Amino acid sequence: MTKKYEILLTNDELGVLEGHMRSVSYDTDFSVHYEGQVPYVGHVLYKGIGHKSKGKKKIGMKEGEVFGIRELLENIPCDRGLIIEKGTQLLAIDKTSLLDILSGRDKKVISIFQRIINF
Amino acid sequence: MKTNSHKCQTCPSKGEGIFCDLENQALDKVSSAKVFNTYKKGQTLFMEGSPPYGLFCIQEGTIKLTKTGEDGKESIVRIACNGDVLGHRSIFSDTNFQATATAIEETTVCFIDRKFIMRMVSEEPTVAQNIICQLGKSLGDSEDRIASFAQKNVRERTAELLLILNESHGKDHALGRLLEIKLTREEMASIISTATETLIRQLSEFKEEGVIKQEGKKLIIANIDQLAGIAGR
Repeated sequence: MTKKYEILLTNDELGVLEGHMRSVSYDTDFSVHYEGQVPYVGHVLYKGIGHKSKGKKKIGMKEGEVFGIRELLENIPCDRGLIIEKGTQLLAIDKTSLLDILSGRDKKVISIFQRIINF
Repeated sequence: MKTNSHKCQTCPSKGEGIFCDLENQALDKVSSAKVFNTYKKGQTLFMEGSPPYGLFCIQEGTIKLTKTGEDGKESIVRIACNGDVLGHRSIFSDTNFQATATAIEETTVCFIDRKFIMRMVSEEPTVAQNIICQLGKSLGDSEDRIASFAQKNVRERTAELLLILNESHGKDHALGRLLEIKLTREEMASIISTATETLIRQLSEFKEEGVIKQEGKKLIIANIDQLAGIAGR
């Protein structure tokens, strides 16, 4: 299951990942991920308001906080849900794209994802 | 730590999906790439207007696809069940999802991401063929639906809906065909674009005529030939 504390990316790291992840926002509050499920996409909270949920409890996320990338790669469930508020911007990446990056040559982006995965 | 190890070879919907004609080796590739999840009733797989990350294949259960009108009213555009694929139109047309997908009962779903699908399409001709078949089928279903709305009255459309639900969720029962689907009357009315009261009145008429019977909230088609006649099939 997910570790207790999630990794927080720096602005520089976010700048690098912007070019490798899909930017997405929603017109309404939305449960992007349900507690106990395997994520089908990994996320980074880029701008706006997001919460990690466990049961009825919600914990606010910080901009730059990562959600579900390690679990996506390992194909294991997240023990938290992810809920975002209207207009929040996320960066998203699927498993095939992530594996392509990790087997590629861009050392800078690989090192960021390695930091996320090994956290 | 529990890993996600649901193989395509042992899928209860095997034979009905777009990857089912693949050889074992290719199926293993799909199995290792996919994400398997169970959605509880009311949980949303994806939202109308959101970007498509990939395909959802329903292993077991039922999903409703809804669109929200300008008045904020939700209408059901499709009911998807075992073996059905969701999201294929959006990933190939590179457009956002045109509808919201919500589980109407506990549903197990496999997800395969877009990049992987695109590779499979170029490497495995049967996948491309099956996707074309699915696209053709959904286009045909949409055309049938448009024709049904344009040409059929509410009585005929209600009969048509019951026949469609029988094809996807009908089970043999002592009194006929039991529709094993948890749809509210409001949801059923939404599918055929009528008011809930009108649908309820129509179902009562069918009951009086002996075409259908009711067991609790569940409907049983007692005379399928008569129902097909009403639907104009």
